[in-house]
Amino acid sequence: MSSGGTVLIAYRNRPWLSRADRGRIAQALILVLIAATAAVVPAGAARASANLIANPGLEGLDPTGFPVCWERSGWGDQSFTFGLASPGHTGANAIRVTLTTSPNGDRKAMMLENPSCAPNVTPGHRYDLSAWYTTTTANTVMTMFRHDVAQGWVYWTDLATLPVTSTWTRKTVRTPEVPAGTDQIVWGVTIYGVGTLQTDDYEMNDATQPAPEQSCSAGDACTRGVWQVLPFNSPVRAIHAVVLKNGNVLLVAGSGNDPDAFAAGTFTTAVYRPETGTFSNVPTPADLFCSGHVQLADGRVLIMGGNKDYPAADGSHGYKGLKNSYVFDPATGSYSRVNDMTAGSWYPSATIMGNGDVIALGGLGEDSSGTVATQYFKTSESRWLSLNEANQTWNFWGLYPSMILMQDGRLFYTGSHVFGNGLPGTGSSIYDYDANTITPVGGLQNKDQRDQSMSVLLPPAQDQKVLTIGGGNIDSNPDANRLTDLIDLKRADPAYTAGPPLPTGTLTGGVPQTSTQGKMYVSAVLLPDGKVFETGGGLHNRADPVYEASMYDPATNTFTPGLATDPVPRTYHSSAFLLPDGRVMSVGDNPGNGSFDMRLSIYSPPYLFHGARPQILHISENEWAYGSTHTITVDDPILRAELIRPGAVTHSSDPNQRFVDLPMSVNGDTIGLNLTSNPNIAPPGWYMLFVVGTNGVPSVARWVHVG
Amino acid sequence: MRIRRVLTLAGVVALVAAAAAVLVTLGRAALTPSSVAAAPAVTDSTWPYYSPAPAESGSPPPAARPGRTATASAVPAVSPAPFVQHFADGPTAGPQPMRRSPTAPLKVPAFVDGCDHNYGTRTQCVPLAFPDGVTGAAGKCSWLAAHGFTGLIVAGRDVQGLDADGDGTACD
Ligand SMILES: [Cu+2]
Repeated sequence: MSSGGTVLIAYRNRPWLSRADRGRIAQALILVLIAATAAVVPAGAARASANLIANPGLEGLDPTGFPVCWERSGWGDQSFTFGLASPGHTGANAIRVTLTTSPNGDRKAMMLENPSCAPNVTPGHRYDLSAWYTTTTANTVMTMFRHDVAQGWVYWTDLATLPVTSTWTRKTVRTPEVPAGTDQIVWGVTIYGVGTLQTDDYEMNDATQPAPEQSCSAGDACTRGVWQVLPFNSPVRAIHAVVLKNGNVLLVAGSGNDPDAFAAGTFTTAVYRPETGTFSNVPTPADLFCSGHVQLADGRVLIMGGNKDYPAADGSHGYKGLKNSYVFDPATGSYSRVNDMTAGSWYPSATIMGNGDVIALGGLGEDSSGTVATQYFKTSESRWLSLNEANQTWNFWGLYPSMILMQDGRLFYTGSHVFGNGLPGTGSSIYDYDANTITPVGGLQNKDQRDQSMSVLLPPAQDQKVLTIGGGNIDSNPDANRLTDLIDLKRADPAYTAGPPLPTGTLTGGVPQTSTQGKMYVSAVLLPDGKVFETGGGLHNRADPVYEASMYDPATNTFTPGLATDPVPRTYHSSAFLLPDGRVMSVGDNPGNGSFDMRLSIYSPPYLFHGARPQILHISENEWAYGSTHTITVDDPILRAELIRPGAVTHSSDPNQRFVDLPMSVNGDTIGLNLTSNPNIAPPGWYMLFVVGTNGVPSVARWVHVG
Repeated sequence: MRIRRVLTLAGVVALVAAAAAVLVTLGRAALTPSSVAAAPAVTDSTWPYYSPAPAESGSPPPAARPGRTATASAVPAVSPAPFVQHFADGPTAGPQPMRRSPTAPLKVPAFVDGCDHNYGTRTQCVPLAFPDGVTGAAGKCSWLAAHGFTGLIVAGRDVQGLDADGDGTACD
């Protein structure tokens, strides 16, 4: 009523009335009526636009006394109550959920999953969801489910943690784009710890922004992007590449698969500075060729294992793995040694866990036998645990096994590996370090020809989907294949299903590939627009480069073929990774004749030709705790924001590569970015923060530290 | 005086509206149950598949999963515990049988990289198996030549018969 009252008083004070004044009075009257209407409908709906929620203020009750169109939901062994609090934020009612014990599970008041209560949505649209709340616990989360026309009701995603507050507070979060095949959603606020949560005055408004007219005058580059071969070469054989928290790139060769360098004990590393196009050499303490690597929580790089020896010509021994381990510090540009691993590790995997520790699996030992130890780096003590300090399965995981961290802390072995056949059985599995179990996962096609395929956790990480692309077999040496396999790790019993075939490209001399020819040595790079760029590769064991690049869209499960191809062959010992400026860098090629291509290529994706880049003008802070919200200001409306973990790649293997969606609380150009409370979705470390404009163009990254 | 009539009308509308709001609110208050609704049986489809956590064994090695200790506490949490979904929790396949601690090294072929290190420098790669259709010494040698192999030494034994003249250099 107050706004109407103010208007009336203002007019009373005026001594004289013109025709225009009468018009204003009519407007004032309308305002009064609106104010009165708002008083009659205590939904907290300040906006005139349609609130899509049925019974948003929880005032209409069913015969059991619970709000119409709402239900008590959740699972677990808590002691809990659902009830109504009175008064609510506005009106008589709020929903109150109290947990007095909470050993597991969660509880939430949810919109009813039926056609008359669940809000209808349009695929491709985004919605602002808001609720007023008080909570005594921070163990809260806004969670959404969607009605998939094929699958029925399924989990969609979590949006934000609601911090503790005793006064009514409003939280608004914008959904991601509604996926295709979705006709309704429901959502609510979950409580999963001891405490009391009250919610009221729910609101949901269509916040879809019209896409600006796409303009691109760059010709071919508009759809295919552009490659540029840099006018200078890499000073080292870039077999291992790690994007550092300062935006520079660590290129590690060790002996670089160069017998003379190995014989001379000449091991090399360089740091490349993309901003200046310059390199600096780093004294390299051991042959880090064939090592594993991962960014630690503080942005230093843990390097493990490496090459102790090449095989003997008479086959009396094979490759031998080093036990050495080092930490590379981007601040000092130098390696420092940590304690040795428990076993030699030539081609080990390395995955950072939600607690910041690192698990390394597979590889070859000091005597060239298979390393069966689970090697565990305890970051807080900066050391590798001894064999009996870590859980042991004694399983041999092969070479560079792709072990992707799942949202519950287990590791998904994707079946992507280096050299020879896949592991026995189905070729992929879920490894539970805590329970010490390995459970087979089915569905991977032709698991013995996935040698030097590449697996990625698709954007966003919250969706828990993995794509495995291509592969071959260096032992039997068939034509590499076009297989792709997709798995949804949200399913109760996940299994791979066949994805669309990899597009074909051309071989040396422009010869088109046949319909059955694909590639191994493939690189797949998560881009800030949420797509996956796949590039490079070859047809046979260290031979026959394939010139092909395509864009995979996780939202549509399709490859857009025919992107510009790297003019440099990129087969064995090649890698590609995202730079903080949104371009892709590609390095290395080591064909069977023993040569090494020192050229460096940079790819500018099509999005860089579609208009101005959004600017992140300000970040409230760059230390981000789990479950917190951080404010940025931008110069133009943005579609999405995300964190991308910087690459640490070798041999088509970067299991830590991930794209973490940041649901947005939009208030004009001031955007709250909501970080997940779950460290398994965004393991601690430095991340590239990107925003994407409504024109689909990503910003340049800013660096933030998570955890 | 027309304006006074308008103002009066507006005031009446506002009063009526306010009265209506009070009546509506009172009506709703009357409907509000005085007691808290009892905890219901859960029937909605939004729950994840749930299986009880396995019993913990002996001395605990480091847990790689973030704990959810805050949820077990009796005191409300100020910073959130990780919200973890129970996905991928109903596999039809059982876990692999546990392995025993190995008593012998796990043998891996010396030429694990698919390269026949009988030939070339230690980092060259004459394939153990050539691509389809590449057969015989002549076929292999022309394939190697086409792929940039020159002065290919026989470093071990000439197992693929590429050094017909036995001079220690293959395909010459
Ligand atoms: Cu290699």
